[in-house]
Amino acid sequence: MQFLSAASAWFFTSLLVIALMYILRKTYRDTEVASHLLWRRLLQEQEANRPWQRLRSRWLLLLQLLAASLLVLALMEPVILRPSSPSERAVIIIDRSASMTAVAEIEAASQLTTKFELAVDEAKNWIDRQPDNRLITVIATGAVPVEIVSSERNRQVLRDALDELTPYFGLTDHVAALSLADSLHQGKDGGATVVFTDGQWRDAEEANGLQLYHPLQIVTVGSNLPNWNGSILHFGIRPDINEPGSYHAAVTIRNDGELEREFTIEIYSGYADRPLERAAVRSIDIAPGEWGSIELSGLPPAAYYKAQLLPAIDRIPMDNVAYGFPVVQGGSHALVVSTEGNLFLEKALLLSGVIPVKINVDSTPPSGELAEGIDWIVIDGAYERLKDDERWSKLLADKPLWLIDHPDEKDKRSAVPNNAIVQTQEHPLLSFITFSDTHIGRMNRLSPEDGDWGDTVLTYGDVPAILAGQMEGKPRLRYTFKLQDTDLPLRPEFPVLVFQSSQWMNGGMQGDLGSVSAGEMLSLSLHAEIDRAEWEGVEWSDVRKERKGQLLPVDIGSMIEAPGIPGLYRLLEWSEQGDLLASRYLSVSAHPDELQPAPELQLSSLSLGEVQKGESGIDHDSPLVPQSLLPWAIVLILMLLLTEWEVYRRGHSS
Amino acid sequence: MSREEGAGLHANSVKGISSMTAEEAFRLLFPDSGILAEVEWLRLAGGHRLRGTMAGKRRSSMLGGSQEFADYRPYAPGDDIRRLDWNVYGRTGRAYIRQYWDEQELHATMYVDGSLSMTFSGGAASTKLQVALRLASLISYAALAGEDRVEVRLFDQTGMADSLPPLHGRPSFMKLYRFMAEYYSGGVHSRRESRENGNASHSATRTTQSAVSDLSMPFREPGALPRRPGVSWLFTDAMFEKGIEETLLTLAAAGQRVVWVQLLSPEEVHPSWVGELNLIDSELATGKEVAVSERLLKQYRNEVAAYKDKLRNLCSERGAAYSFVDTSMPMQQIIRELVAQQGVLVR
Repeated sequence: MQFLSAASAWFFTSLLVIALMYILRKTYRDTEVASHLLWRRLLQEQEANRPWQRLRSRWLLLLQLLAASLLVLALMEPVILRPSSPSERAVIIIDRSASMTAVAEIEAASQLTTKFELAVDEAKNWIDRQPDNRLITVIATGAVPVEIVSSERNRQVLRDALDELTPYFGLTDHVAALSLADSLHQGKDGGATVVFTDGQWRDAEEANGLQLYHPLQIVTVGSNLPNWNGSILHFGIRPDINEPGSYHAAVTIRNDGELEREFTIEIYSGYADRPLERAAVRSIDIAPGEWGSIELSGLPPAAYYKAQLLPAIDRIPMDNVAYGFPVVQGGSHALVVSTEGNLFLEKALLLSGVIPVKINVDSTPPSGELAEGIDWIVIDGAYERLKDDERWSKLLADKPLWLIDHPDEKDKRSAVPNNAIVQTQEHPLLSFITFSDTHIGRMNRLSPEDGDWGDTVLTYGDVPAILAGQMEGKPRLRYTFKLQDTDLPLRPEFPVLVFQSSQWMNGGMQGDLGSVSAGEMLSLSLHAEIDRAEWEGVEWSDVRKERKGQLLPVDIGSMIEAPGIPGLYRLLEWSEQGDLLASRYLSVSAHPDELQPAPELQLSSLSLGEVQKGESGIDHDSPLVPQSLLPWAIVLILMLLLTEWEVYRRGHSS
Repeated sequence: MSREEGAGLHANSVKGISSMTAEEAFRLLFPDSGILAEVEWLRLAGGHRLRGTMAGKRRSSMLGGSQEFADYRPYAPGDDIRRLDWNVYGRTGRAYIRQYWDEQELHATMYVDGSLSMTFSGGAASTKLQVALRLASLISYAALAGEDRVEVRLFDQTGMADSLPPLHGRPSFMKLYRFMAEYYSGGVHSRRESRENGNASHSATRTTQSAVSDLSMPFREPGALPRRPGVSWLFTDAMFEKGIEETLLTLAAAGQRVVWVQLLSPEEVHPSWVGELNLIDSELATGKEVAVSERLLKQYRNEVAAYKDKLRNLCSERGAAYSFVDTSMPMQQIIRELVAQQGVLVR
């Protein structure tokens, strides 16, 4: 028997109080007798003894103490553990975090069995052992736990659902899965949760603190093979300074094993649809637990590079591959359209690595090759005029715009700010920027026709001063004040502001999408004429390598979800006419946290105190279920009270 | 347990100025006068030969002029020739004198315990004192009818309280029962007065008394013992800490054959209380807190039985007769049981 609320044992002190009341009781009925002569010897014992000895053999007291102790016992919520009856519902949690892709068994070089596969097999075996009528729910872990099958009796459905499962490479929330499983039992008798896992939980500490109210069984799959693993921590590509036109790669490798080993790095260069070419090979010895770096130079230009760590087969094969992309060469080109020219702005743009191309408002807009070379446009005070100009309209619609207003005194929309109070919002544009002591002479008020494409990130004297946002997927900025009307260009903040503004304008203009974790939400700027987009799997580092070249449709929204399986992908953007608008590479890797060594998992179900750990789940098919003894305690108390009443009624008060 | 208020001897300060007529007293003591007729033929067992001052119906230890033959002895000059047994002389030619036992009267003393503990009725119709007084009257009546001399003495734990001088002859019975009735009614007229005196004086009296009740106290007083050998009946509940053995010895030394009549009320023999009680000793006014249980009551009953046994043993050791009276029994039955007992009453 166990107690769920052992602290209630303090209530046992109430028994002392009851006994004390009996000792101190004063109400004795006065009865005159002829003489004590005959009573004296009889009562000698009673009188000579200490008060508490008077309490002996008093039925009422004994019964009351018994009742009180039963009450306290009931408060302590006694439970007995009995094997859960197999007919009660079960919830299976399949851990499919990235660490489950670790190799559990190597039968042959090509036949690797991951822990995940083992876990699925174990789960299927477990299901087969359950009685036919048992309701089984399957939950798969993930960023949010997914209830794959709900209260199903059909074994085939369960098996099919388990076969469908794939590992999840993003950040896995085990705690949520446990809570969900526990809450599924809520309000139902019995029931047990069975977790198939490798015990490597990123959030183990949090999970250990979780209070579970229902019995839990943990089936640990895969014996922990000796930790022989090498992983690529970082793979960077940059232009070779010594050899123009070629690239330099830096690879950081960690040896997670317990022995010093020699690792070999192969760098492949890839280009669109051509097969990979091996560009360089280098070996390095790394002590256990240490990091090592390899620098390889003279790599030929390529669309992407792949680093392959050898030996390719180790405990976690997934982290033996990394992809790198060459950094886009050169700065961006900005077309600065201004009415009167702004030297400060031009200098600041140059400082930010942007090459400004100056053009007068009245001149003809660039076209053709020249227009293609322009990444974005700064319009310093002439947007109203250019907007309506037919020559400009196409260019303005194609490119991201940075508008700088020139408020006119005569214009009713312009206003002098009431005060100098600056309100800023958290925005990348305004990092390190305070605008304190900055004076702005005149500002344009916004009108409804300006559209709602962006957020006001800075307000000056209650008037919006800087707006940032996106229009048709392209970044857009607007300053509602003329730079010449302020002392801003004289401030040290100015170059920072311009730099961050140009970064904002450059947003989404990188050649490739870089490297992200699986399932991460990406904020991308898509092509203006995009109709649909899809991920093309260039190379999946899925162990099975079955789905090469598969296309995944992309839900075009403000955020785009990265593919869930590590590998190299290409984001293809298609126009309405079916033209390929853009193709950008994305490297997806498993979330690094999931592959880190995790704290030990010590789950404690509140009702159990300890978790049963079946090595492979064969021995403990039915976890122990706490059964409350409360009803029994209540029945006993009621019976006691009846007895007590009877005793009282008959007057056997002692 | 009910207790007759102020029925103790202390209350009786107006003795002698009895408002009760003889008839009232008679009715009070003997509601059923038929019992007197029953008792009339009983004689007090007097033991062996007794010596009295006056001729009576009792065979004396002296040889004398009764009709009961004792022995022969050779004639000596000067003997009363009327006692010569002529038949013997005719057959043997020798003169023998017939000797007869002397017949004398018996001195009976009724000692009635009037201590406070006797004033409990305890489930019976009358208190122990009342039963003792009635029983003593009946025994006295039997004695008077048998031409014995009867003396009545009332005592309590402090000393002799009152006494009736020796009476003789049936006519003096009226005097006796009037005396008895006075105490029987418990000085009803004086009850209120004693209450008004307050418990203060009452308890004061009590505290001045010795904490230990001693039966031998009253018998140590001068004149408490009968001057002549005889029979002493002791009517008491024997609720005395000590002095019982001493008293038996004292009485035996005074030439008394003791008949010990122990009276206990039914509730004293078989108490039927429940709950938590504070038992207050009527004489000592001290309390004892008791949680009464069936077990305790059983122990108590054993204790009562043991006490009775102890008294019986003591009495038989001292050659005294012991009899136990449950006050709830009807008087006829009490008498019958006394008669059935050897050496107490003779039919």
